[in-house]
Amino acid sequence: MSFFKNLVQSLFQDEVDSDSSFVLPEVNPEAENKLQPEDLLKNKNVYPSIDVNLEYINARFNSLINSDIKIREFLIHVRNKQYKAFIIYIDGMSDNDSINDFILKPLMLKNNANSYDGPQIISEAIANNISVRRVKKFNVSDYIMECLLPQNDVKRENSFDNIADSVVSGNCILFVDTLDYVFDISTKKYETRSIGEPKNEPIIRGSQEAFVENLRTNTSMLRRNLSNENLVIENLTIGNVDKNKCAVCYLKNIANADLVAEVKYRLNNIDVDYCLSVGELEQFIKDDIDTTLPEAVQTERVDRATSYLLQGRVVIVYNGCPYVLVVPITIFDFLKSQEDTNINYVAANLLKIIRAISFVITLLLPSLYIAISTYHSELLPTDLLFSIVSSRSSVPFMIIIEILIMEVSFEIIREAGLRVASPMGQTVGIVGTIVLGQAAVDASIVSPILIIIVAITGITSFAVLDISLSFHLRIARFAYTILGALAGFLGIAVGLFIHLAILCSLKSFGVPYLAPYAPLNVKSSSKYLLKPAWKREYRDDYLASKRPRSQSKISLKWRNKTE
Amino acid sequence: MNNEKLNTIEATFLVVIITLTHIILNLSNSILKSTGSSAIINVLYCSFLTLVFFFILNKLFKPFPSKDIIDVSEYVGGKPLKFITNLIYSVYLIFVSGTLILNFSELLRLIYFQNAWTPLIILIFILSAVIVNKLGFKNIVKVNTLIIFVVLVTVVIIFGASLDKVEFQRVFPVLGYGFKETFVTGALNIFSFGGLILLYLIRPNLKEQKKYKTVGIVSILLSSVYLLLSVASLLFLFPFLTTGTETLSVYMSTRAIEFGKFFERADALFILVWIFTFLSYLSIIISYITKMNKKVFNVKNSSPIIYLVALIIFFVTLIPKDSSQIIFLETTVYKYAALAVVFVYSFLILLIGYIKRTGVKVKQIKNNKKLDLGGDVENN
Repeated sequence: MSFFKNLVQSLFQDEVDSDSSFVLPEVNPEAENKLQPEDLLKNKNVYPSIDVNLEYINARFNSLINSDIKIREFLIHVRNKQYKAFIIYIDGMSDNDSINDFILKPLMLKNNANSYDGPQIISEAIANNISVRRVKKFNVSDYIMECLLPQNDVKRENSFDNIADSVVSGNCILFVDTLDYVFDISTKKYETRSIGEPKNEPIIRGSQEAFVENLRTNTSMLRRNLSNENLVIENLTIGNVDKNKCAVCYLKNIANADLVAEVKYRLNNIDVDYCLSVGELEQFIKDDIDTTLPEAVQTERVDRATSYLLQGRVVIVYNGCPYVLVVPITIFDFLKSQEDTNINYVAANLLKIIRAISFVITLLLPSLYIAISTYHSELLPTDLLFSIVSSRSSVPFMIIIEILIMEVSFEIIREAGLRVASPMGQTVGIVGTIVLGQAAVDASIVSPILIIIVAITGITSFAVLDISLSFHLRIARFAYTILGALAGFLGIAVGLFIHLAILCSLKSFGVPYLAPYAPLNVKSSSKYLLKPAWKREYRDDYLASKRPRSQSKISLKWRNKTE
Repeated sequence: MNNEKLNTIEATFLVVIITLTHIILNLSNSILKSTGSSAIINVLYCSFLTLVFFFILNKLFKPFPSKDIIDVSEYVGGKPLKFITNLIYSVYLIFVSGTLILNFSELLRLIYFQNAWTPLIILIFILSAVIVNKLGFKNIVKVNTLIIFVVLVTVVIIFGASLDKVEFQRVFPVLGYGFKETFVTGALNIFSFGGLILLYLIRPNLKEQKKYKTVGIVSILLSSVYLLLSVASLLFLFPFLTTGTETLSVYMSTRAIEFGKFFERADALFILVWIFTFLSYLSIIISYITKMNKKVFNVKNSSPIIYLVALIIFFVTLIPKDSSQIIFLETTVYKYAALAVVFVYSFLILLIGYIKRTGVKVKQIKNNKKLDLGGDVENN
């Protein structure tokens, strides 16, 4: 009965909107930030009254609703006197044992250090039976710092902004009554990923260490790999809301001082609320913001970053990202692999030439195919031309449509294979390339020769090591394909000419993108092809490093038999 | 401004590309027609004359460090002459580049785009040159330096690949149409080095003024070698009396080349390289016309001049009505225009400037001497 009742009701009753009626108000997308109540709490200093400080901290950290903000109030024993105090830290980011054993215990429990109340005589002199004693003036702050905090990294701080930064980075802050500053104690300890192998830049020989998300672990790996006291690691903060740490690393005795200053200047002048990765950071500091070409190398390899540091470049390590940025760079840096220096220079040069050929094929093969088959067919041997014509005879589309169908399909398969879970990715790849490819040929949607062209282009694109450059090539390839279809070699030449001019106009931190070939420097030591290991006497000259020479004229002194 | 300074190699290649562009079209054919089998001797003779001319030019430019012909004109005849020189140079460069681009575009249309409208091809060239000019002069120079190697290699390949088909006896009779045609009227073939016009303009852009001489000599020698190679390949490949084709002289040689069975005809590859040459050439010409006018009219922003120059070049290309007019413009009008502007007018301006400057200096020295003598007398 109820069923029929419901049925009749549902048929004749208006549909009730059962969704939530919650909507956000519409705002102007270009509206400026309004002053929030929290903003009023900024730019304040620590008060001498602990109650005021506690109230301020509660307000600033929303400690009443924030579950992981821990505030512990207690009494400090200092020379048998008691002071009100409290500590603040974030649960999960600080080391509880360290806080208990090395902060709370020495401060709260009575012991020899905090209960001694005798005179502290610095010197004593007796003259005419009158003894004169110089007694050390008692200072609570110094006493706590020197006697009661057995920690290696403690500093005084009085700005609440800096205190907030320290707390969110995992430090423990000690407030003491009557003091208008606090003790910032390093107690960071949080779960991080352990050091692993490089997943995206694998090499056969050489180091198998990759950067992780933790900034300090990354800088320590650089320190370990580069044993030199001139390695400077300067910390900077990026972002107004998410104040993320980044480290600018360089060799003080090698890197050009102006270059280092420019890198720091750019990093210090990024006015954004947040920046989540080095990829984003690169876009904030690159010279030419309109180009799709990368202007910094992103690497996960510690040895690669180290080798760049030794050349006089600057490495930017960003907290929360397992990649580091290297500046300045040239386009040829993207065609380098860390493997190159580990193997014989002849083999390395062969690989480099293959990579350069792959670069050209990735960029131009589809456009050359379309240009030659449409406008310049006399270039092809007659047999091959017949073969192409016969294979295309059953395809109903124009050659440009055919290429675009295949290129877009290939990009979709690649994107899908990359984004789905890894076991599925292989399946997508196999189904996409083999099954669909074969089916497309059988259905006469595309010609077999085109499958070969697209496959070769796809494979060669993987030989271009840098993913950012690979993206640029993929975008440019579409443009060249269209130009080739419109005007054959004329279109391709026009595209190449403008492309070359754009490349020539680019700079990475003052270094020409095509250096040392444009502007041409015949005497340059840094050519694309590698010299033998014992003949790499100079650093890349376009870096203007403080130590241009990296080897002595005769580096293999042991071969000098006359000595 | 320092960013626009050129090193020796960049400056040399800038001059060479201008000459090479003419070689690719009808320059070699024109020399062959006027001198016959003595074309090689004539090229060597003209190269020698050009070198001598350059030595004089270098001498005349010496009192004017970092000055180009526009500055010298101002020194000689004040602002009116400066404007006149700028006008002559601009008109000459626009006319020559327009004719060349029209000729090459016509060639492309004939070979590959029979159904296309020639002005559309011209527009592609001009638009590309405008885009590249917007990126800056220095970038044009950099691209030119990169592509010129490929261009130079193609000329060598054309000569090398046709070696098996050449008949060296075609060099006889050695003096071709006669002594007079080779050495007297043939001297007019010095116009082949019309690309040297850039040597009058390039001085303010040089990083090192001392290298001006090197730039001039090397560019003349390189141009001579390539002119010689292209003339030789044409002369040895085809009987000069039967080379009736008025256009595509070097292209004719490329069609005779065979690279085995796979590449039956590779002329499209040469065309690809030559398109680069023409794009570079046009970009350089537009850039220099813009530079001159920017200087003369004291304009801060170069973009309007770039657009205007490009537009004028485009309109110039629309003037000739048929191929015969194009060939007449390229062979006859260009020949005498180059001789008049590059080898007569500019030379005269420089000569007068030199005399005026040295005259002023001599006067100053005499005055100084008089003052010294006067002082001595008073002292005595």
